[in-house]
Amino acid sequence: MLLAEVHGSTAAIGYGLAAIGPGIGVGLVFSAYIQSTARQPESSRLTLPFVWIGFAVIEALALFGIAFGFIWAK
Amino acid sequence: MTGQEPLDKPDGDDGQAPLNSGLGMTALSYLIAGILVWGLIGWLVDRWLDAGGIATGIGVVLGAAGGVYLIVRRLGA
Amino acid sequence: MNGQPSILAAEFPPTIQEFFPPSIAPWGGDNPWFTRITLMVWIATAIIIVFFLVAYRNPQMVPTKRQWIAESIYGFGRNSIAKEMIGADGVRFAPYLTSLFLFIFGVNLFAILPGFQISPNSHFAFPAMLATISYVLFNYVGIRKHGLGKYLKMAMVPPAPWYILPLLVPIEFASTFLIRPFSLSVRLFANMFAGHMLLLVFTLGGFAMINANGLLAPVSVLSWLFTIALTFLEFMVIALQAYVFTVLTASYVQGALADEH
Repeated sequence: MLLAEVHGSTAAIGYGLAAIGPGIGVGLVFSAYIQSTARQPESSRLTLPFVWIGFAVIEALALFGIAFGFIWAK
Repeated sequence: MTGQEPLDKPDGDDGQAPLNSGLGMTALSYLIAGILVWGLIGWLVDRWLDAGGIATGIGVVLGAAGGVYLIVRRLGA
Repeated sequence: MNGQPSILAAEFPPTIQEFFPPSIAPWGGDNPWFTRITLMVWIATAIIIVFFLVAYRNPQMVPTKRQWIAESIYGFGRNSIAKEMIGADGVRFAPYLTSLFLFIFGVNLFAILPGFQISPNSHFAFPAMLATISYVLFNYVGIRKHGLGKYLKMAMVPPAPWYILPLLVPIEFASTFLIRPFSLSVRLFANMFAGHMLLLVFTLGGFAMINANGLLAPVSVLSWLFTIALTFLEFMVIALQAYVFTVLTASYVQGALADEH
């Protein structure tokens, strides 16, 4: 017996859920960079490369979300 | 503003990457370019082999890995 | 209020036809190129050229007010954009970068000026042409400095072990030669297009709500207040987009001129 039914594209719901994690992750990376620069401004040049490394790895997951949303959509 | 001294950075102090707002665009563009290019190649392989979507997925993952590697190499420590 | 004639200036919801204003040719007829968008581009260019010509008519050591304003604007383009991005070598690009910044800013400013209220950059041709010029510029500068083979090698071959290179070279190629001009033009176009569309939606929405039901008048006023707030935001977006376009062009020129380490 059918209790409930959802029409439409579940890929859209999937992408929405998949964007939560990377959104929080990128926010954490940049907040850490801003806080560390606020505490010790001379360290900003040293920590900047790590900002981009962290951003790249996290954003890769977010872009997976949008790419697979198109690939797996019916 | 016209009385200011023009900024004279000693050349060569930023060794590997230009320290400006172009860095963020570079990082994002490597990722997107990687996913698009290798996703496209994977999709073409899909059509050639009639594999039903798996080659596109592999291409996307490879492209993202390549993009991350490039960012770490060019912008990382 | 329900029996009043419609006071809509255009249909709601706004369609793409809003971006193609009617022809204003004084000889009549219906041509798609002489609209108020063309007039805006001519006016903006004329103002910039005339202002700088007049300000530098009699240059003096102790600058007059007009000369000081012109020097400040050029100083901003030269110091903060050209010299900071490209280094000491960047002074020869400063005139082009300043003109680019002023042109984009001036032309975009018409998006919030009453009477015109559309930016020519919301037609994709204008940002596409500007991005093409920047693309040709940074490639030509790089090729002329390093030679074609060395420039391509520098742009497309990253420092990586040889066995991963086939994976990375297409990515580098796409990132430098395909995505850069595309992203430059689409960023400017999308911002101007979306800004205009937002202002249209909130303005026409206010009118549409009053036409639908007279009791919605407070909501309409709220919609129009939001339009005013969005206009201020649009001004910030206009200045920022002009700055970002110019800074990114300077950054690409710097990347093309950079010596390999």
